[in-house]
Amino acid sequence: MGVIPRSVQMRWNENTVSFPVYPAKVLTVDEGSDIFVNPTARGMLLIVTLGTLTGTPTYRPSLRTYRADLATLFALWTAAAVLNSAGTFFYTIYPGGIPGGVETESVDIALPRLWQVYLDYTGTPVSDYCSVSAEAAYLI
Amino acid sequence: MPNLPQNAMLRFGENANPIILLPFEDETAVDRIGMVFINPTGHGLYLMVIIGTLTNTPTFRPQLYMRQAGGSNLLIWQAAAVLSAAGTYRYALYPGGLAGGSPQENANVMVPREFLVGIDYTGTAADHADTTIEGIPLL
Repeated sequence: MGVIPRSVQMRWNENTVSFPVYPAKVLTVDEGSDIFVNPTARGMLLIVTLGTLTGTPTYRPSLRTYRADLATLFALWTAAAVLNSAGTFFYTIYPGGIPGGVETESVDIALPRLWQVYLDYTGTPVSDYCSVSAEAAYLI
Repeated sequence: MPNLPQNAMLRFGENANPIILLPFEDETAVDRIGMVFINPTGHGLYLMVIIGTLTNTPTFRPQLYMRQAGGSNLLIWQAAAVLSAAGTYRYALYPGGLAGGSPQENANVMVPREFLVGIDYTGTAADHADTTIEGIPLL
């Protein structure tokens, strides 16, 4: 199970700096991040960055968590819209939603202790691709 | 009063790992209620209700109870609709509700310190299915 690097380990009941969730890479398959451990945050800012597109790939972020067997992952939330252009997109994930900014989507869920960002890809791998990365910052 | 297993203890001021609140059982013609769980600092829960293959036509309604001072259990929430098909259903129980991600039901409730979950069953002895409830505690 992946955990937050020590340099950005969440301290008890504090907001955190932004930390990498998904390292930049050319993505042509569906893929999930490591599993992260959230001790005391209620939500987070999730930032997804797409580089210059070749062809017409699309990526749809979702947030997953574990069932009690700590083996089965299921989706708590799936982005309403796919990402299909270069840019930086951010999602506010917090109980009640935080829709007051210029976020891509405000998501009314609580962040559980164990979570993973998952990216669904569509396209033809040899011709549709771009570099994708994600980072997050916890919000107490 | 039973306590949480050590590996599933809801620690003070922390989110907790997912836990089994109502263990797997082939439920037939009997309402079920689980053990008391202690929630020191959480606000809510994601409830995962897992219904196995149905034999005949049972229905199941998930419930949340609070343990009262005298030892009885007070019903504080029950699902608006019964479950009558196999599947995995997620309920969001949280103050103000959690509408994101399209839960089966978004319930504006708070989870008290001492809580239990149960399933209200309807059917005859010939109507049954395997049922389990898991929980993901939330600050």
